[in-house]
Amino acid sequence: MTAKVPRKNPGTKIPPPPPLTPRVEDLNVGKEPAPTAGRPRAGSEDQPRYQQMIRGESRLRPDQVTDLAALRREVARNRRNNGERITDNTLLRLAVDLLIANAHKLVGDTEDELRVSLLDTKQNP
Amino acid sequence: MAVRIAVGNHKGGSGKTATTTLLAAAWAEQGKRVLVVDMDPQGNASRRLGSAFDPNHPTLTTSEVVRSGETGVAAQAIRPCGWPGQYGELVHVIPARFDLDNRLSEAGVVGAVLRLANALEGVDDDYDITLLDSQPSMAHLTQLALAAAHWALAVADPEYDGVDGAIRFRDFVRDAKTLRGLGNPDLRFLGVVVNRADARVGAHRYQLDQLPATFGADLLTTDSTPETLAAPELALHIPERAAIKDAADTEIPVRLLPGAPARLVADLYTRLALCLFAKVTR
Repeated sequence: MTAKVPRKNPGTKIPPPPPLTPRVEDLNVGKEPAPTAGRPRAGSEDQPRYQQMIRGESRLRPDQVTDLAALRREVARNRRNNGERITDNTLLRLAVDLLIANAHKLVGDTEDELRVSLLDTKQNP
Repeated sequence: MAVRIAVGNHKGGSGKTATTTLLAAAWAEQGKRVLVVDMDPQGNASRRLGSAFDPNHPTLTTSEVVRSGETGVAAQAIRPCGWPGQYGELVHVIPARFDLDNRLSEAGVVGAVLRLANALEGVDDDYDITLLDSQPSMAHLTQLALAAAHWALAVADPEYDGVDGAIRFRDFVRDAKTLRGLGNPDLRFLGVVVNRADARVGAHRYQLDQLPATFGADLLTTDSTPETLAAPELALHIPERAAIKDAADTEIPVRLLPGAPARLVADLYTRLALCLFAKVTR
């Protein structure tokens, strides 16, 4: 059975909208902030590990993204204790630690020159 | 119904409002009737069209129109622009006021994005073109304009951020999810107008060289011939000229200013207006 749908009379005109009056509003701004449950401060040790970190953004080359993911899978596969999750960010943090530990080797004005100074073992034994 | 064109770029200062008002003037010079809908709470297009907000005599603006969202309600807010002569007869405006910003917080209501489209329904039938100036954002106010428009026109300055913002605007408009969300599946990307070009600036020369590869056939020319429409490398860029700022500051069409630079700018926009009208009415 087909449901009956009320039909409009095609001769019916849409009534004009109600008249508007100019109304200058104050800009909406936040009232007093709503009280929230206390939260541990960012970086404190009683938070999950990811919340102890500070988010930073970097742009990687496509080959770095691929190689990093492959390395992460390999490291994760070779673990004897599966307690801690290994992520791309884990390896990136290690890379930053390695860079800072070898900061004294950095020489150059460009990314390529800096890379050579860091990785060339002949130049920097 | 008028052909509705929403003007946008994710970046501020790219020349959206200048292009909106200069195109409105150019089309008026060609005898076209133009409605400018100012969807930027800064209200700069309104002021440049001689319809600045007067706190002692407030008038209806896009804020009230969008807040209501009733079908056809925008007709109540239309007024002639403040430009002299035939410009004032042919260019009308629904001005904006700073409190248009308050409409943002209403975006979460079902159907909110269609409020301007509803409000304009049947209102601009007697105009040839409706230009919707938007703010540098892809958020609710710009989405209101896009939901009501037939075409989206990007305006870019030839600097990295200006081009990047135009790419984001283009990609937003071309995204099928966007069109579904806006309830406007027929919205089409009209192209990219490049303005504020200064050939003395190395960064500008670099970007201008890259534009044909970046935008291809979307790069609009200021020549309406089919040959140049199909050849983006022939695109002419609108140069940075003090006359554009003078026209904005003095709230008159650039052609009414004295001097060769003002005539050059007015002539370029005449050609751009011809090109755009040919494209949207093809």
